[in-house]
Amino acid sequence: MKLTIQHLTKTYPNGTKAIDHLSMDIEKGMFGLLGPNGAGKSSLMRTIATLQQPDSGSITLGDINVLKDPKELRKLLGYLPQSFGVYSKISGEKLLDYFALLKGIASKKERSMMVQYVLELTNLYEVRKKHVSGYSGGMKQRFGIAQLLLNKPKLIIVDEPTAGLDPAERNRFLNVLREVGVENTVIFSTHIVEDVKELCSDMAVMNHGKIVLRCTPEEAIQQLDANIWIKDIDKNELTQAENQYAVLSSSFNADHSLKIRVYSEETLPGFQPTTPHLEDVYFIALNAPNILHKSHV
Amino acid sequence: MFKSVFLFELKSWLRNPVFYIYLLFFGGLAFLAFIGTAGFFDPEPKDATADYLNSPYGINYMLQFFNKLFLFLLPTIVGATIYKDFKAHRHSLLYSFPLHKHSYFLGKFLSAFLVVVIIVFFTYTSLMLAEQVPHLHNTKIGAFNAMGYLQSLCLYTIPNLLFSGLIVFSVVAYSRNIYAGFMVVILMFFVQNISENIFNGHGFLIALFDPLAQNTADFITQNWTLEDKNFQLIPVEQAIVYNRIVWLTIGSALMGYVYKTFHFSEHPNFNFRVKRKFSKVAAKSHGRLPDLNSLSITYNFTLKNQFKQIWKLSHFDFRSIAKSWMFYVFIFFGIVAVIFSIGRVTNKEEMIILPVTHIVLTIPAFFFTNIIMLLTFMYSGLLVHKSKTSNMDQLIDTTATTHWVFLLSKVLAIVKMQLVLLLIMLIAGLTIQLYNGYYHFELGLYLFDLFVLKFLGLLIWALLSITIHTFVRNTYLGIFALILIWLGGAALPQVGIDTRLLLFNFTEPIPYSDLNGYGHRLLPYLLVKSYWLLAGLLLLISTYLFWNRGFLFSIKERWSKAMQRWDKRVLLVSTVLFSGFFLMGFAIYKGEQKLELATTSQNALFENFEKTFDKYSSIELQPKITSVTLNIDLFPEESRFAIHGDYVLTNKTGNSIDTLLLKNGFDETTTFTFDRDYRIIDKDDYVHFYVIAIDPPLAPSDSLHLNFDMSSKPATLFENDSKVLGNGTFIKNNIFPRIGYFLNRASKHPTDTTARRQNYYTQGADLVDLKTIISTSKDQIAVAPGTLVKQWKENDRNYYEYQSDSKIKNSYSFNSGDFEVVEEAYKNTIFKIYSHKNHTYNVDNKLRGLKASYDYNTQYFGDYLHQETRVIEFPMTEGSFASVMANSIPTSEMRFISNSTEEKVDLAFYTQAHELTHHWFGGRLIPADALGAVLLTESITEYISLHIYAKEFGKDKALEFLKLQRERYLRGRTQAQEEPPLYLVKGEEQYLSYGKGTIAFNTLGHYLGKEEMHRILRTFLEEYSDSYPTSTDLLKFLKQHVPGPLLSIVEDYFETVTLHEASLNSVTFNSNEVGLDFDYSKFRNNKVFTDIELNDPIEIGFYDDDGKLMALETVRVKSGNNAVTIPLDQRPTKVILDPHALLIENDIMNNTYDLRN
Repeated sequence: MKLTIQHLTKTYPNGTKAIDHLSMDIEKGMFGLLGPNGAGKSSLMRTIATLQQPDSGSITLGDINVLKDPKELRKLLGYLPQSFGVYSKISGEKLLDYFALLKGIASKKERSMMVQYVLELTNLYEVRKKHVSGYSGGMKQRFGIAQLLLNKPKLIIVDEPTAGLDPAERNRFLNVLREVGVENTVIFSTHIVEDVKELCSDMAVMNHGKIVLRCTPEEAIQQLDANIWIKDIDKNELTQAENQYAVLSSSFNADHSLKIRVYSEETLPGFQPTTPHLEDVYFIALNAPNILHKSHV
Repeated sequence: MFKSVFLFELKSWLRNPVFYIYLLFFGGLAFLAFIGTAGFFDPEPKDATADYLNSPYGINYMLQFFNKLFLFLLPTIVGATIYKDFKAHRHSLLYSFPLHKHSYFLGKFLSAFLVVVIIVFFTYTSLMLAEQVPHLHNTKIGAFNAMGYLQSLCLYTIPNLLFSGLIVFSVVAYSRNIYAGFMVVILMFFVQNISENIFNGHGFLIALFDPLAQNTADFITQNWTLEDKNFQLIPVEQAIVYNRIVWLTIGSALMGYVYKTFHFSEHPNFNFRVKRKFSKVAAKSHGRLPDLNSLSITYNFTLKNQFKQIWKLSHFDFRSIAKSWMFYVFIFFGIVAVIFSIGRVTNKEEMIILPVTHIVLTIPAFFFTNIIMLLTFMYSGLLVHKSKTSNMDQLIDTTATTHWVFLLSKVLAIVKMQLVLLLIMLIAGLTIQLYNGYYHFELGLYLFDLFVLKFLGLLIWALLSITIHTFVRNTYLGIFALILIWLGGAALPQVGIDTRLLLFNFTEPIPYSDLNGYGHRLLPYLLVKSYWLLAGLLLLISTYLFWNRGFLFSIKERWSKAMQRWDKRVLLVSTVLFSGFFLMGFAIYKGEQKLELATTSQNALFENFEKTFDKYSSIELQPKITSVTLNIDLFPEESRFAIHGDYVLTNKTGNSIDTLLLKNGFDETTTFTFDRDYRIIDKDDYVHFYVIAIDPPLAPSDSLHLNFDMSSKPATLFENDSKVLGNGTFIKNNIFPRIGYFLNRASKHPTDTTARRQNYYTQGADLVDLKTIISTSKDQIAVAPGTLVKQWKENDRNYYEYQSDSKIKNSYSFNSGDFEVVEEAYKNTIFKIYSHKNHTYNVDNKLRGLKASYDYNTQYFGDYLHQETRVIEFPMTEGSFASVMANSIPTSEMRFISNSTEEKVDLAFYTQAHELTHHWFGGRLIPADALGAVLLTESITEYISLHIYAKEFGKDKALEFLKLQRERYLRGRTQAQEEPPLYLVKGEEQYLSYGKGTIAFNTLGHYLGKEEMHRILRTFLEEYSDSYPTSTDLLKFLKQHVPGPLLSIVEDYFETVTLHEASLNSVTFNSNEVGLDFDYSKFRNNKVFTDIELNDPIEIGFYDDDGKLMALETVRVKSGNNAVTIPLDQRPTKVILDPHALLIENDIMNNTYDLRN
């Protein structure tokens, strides 16, 4: 089902413009929403998830007018917020049963079947009798996935789900997500570019409440072909380099020298050409005017 | 470090608007409560007695209410100050700072405590200001006394808050649970209540363990007269000092313990469950699972399923309540409290009654329901905010479950909790009954009372609680607001709001009687509850509209969201609810319109009558009623009666009478005619008073007939003044027409000869003949005085004809009910007992009492004149007394359910013995209509009853009885404005007529000898059998017959207000004599009796090891210190001054000396 967002705007009482005339269509498949902290990702996600009201604009999923008829959307929605807690002193199985009830499975047998299924899918079956409040970070995130699957959602929204997970947990989590993402529309917000690279068939970069880039990861990387350059410099030279070139990122080498990545459409003397990464796409998108200006110097 | 924590906390409170809300609220409430009680909103009553609100005692009393209210500030301020760090998960961060534990603890506690103290100061200041408001009643405001305030503040309020604060702070810090703070406060109330019940009768212990020191102040001031209360400063006695020490020690010890065990760690060191450790399970890659969409699962949100959801969700929420340890603590204390409360509800002043079901059910009314309410306030807050507190709200809010399902499931969860608690009450009640050997279980009554009547009120609170917590998002503030609505609601009538339409969840007390059930009050109760239930449901709709879901950033957003939810269905439901609400409100409004005029306008009308009609008070020559014929038809199911009557009025004076004064029943409609020409000259429609000229005038010894028809006042929604009950009707003849000016009765001095024109009991009649035909419904028996002449059925109703067998006083009653009758022929009479079929507990004792009294009185005072004597039960809603009316002894239900095995005094026996004695003293000896009349009836009767009691049960039991009378007198005089001497006692001063009167006759009789005392009384009775004597006649008579050395007793006990004080300082024994050193003094009118040439008799009792009396000596004593030696050949173990309670002493603790120490 296609999710259509049109002219969505939200300004908080403190004056922050969280969403700024945002329009976009999202098709079936995994959709990565990249953006730095404070870009408005969570506001957008929560608005789509019917948790908050925009000042203006519209959201539709298929035939459903999300803002007018939130209940219909909720029936199809699986949502995993950026952070969540759980009731204390309750086991995973019981809590999932509770969610299954909230999600409209009236039959006890079916609830139990569904709960078993998602427990197995998310690899939590072994710990189903344990209190959820005692789960590790990764287990808890998988529990989040488990609960969102209970209503066989058509639209899944996961907000920064991998933050704080160790690599093994993160992998397991992404595997689970990948498995459920194929058939549905999954919106996956993150500020970790790697996640998107591994998972998404489509993506957007958001900043200051606006979509600053919208394309598939492959396209994006392709567009940068031959425009990314690297050079090792001394760390004292960074400021100078930043003034001179469109520096996308820098990282230390083992010998404490800095490796900088620079965007340029023309060949830069002293620089080595390199394969573009999705991360480059991200940084360019975030700093577009600045970088484009400098790359032409 | 301490300083920065302290200042930071303090500043954050001073910046918090909640602080100012508390400040305003407490200040405002104190101010309004004070001026309201001081009569700012009411006109000043005439001749009210001074009862100062601002005396030290008054201030302390008023602050008892605020001291309770202040306690709730502790969890919300002192508890919150430490809890907020846990709540904001700030503790993990905070605890990583290099913070000293003592700085943290002390800084937090002291700053929060200071905030509470500021609010307390403000409240005190408000009271002091309120005192200065003009137009307060003079009788309520005395001179300003700063010491009173200071004392209450420093000795009561602040220490209360200090140790309670320490406990709250410690418990919250330890458990990291804010509700635990509220629990502590509620437990304080438990402790107060339970200690009151456990230590029942041990005033000092109750005083010691009352955390609020309320009982402590009561203990210290227990013997205070009104005068003391108006002017005295409450002394700083042991009780209060020890109480403060005990509680401060408990508070500090707890704080110390928590301080020692407190760690700046992530997790509370407090967990009831052993934490279950589990090894992390490595994620196994699962075998290929089937596709999610291939699972066949049905999702539906049909109405039926939504209701199922509500049921299941409520269960989920309820389990979360029922699983918490706090809940069990409450249940435990609740049960303990109920079990210990039983003593309190079965102790009715001087009697102990059986734990019958409706008495057991009064326990929740004053205690258990309050606990359920507080839990409702707390747990509804917990449930409403639960998802947000645990940060699971986003997961829950994005499910397709509708708001109303969430809302109703939470209401239902609270309801389930209430039902469980009520069920526990039921079980506790049954257990109490079982334990007390009472096996008449009335399950139906339990269920109806708890699960319909009590539950309705609780349900309404549940609805309000959910609403308040939805709108007030701060949990503490929400709970606090609810407590204020609850306690503040009680204060509203003080400021003039007294309609059921505005007093939230108004609860009309519905007293229950086994005879008459809930009576006419049930319907209005249910109506008012339904009205508020509908109001609650309307509130619930607003809660639905404003239910917190997702993120709302402004009031505007909340509002627009609510408007979105306002759809046709909501409109429809609201309209239906509102229509019901409006209709019921209208019915209540109409019902209240019909209520009696406000007391103030009533008073005005009455005053007006007194002014205009006083001119007729001088008309004293009136004919007297000599014969009465009545036709009474009672209709119990319609709450009405119709009475037709005929009086024969005879002129017993020497002059002809042309003017009649007639007073008809106040509530009834009465029409009347005379059998000669008459004209109404003057009348008052409010009082139903007529001045009538008759033509021709009534010549001496001539008679005329007065015919009258009466119908009862129709019962309205809230009132039944028809005097006809569904079962157990009890009508007295004081509603019938009366002859003569009826005010200022029994207020003449006994030496006033005009007082002798009529007797104390009845107006305008001496003795009369009475003939009654009385009918009632087919399932009831109707009883009138006299002998049953005829009995028949007509129109499916029961008819009875009674005829008096000898002339009786014009004071009698009629009863009707579904009675069981027990009868026993005894000597020359027949005793019959008419009672409710279950009330057989005391019938035998009652018969015993009647027979013993019959035997004793016929032996000493002459024959009994009636062929039949009937004890008839009337519902306890009509009173708890017993009285005698000709040969009927109407006796309250309360005295039918008395517990004769538990009591100090066998009340069933005693009541009947006492009432039958009135046949002689009251029936044969009829006092004149003057002050002191009851000395001749009640005091003598009570004295004789004491002897009947001694004869039946032994002297020790009788002594118990006598001591109770002394307590009754001493307690009674603390309430009295001015205490007259016994010979001027008024009818309502029972502490004198019964209490002091018994002691007076007993002491005199003790020294005179019983036979001599009885002989004097019999002679007096015979001398005045044809006229109406006064108390001065008796005094004169006594002085003639009492030997000189005992005349001081007549003077001390009958003619003056005299108290004694004896204290035994030391006792020595050597070989064959005992040396005693004791002090003796006598007070008259609260002043030390100055005549030191006293020669008063005092008894000294000597007891052996087994507590047996070895010797009893009477010595004559003087004022001040006395030393006497008494020969005794054996060493006594214990010596008691005045062992037979002949003296009247406030302090009897110092009368005993134990030689073993």
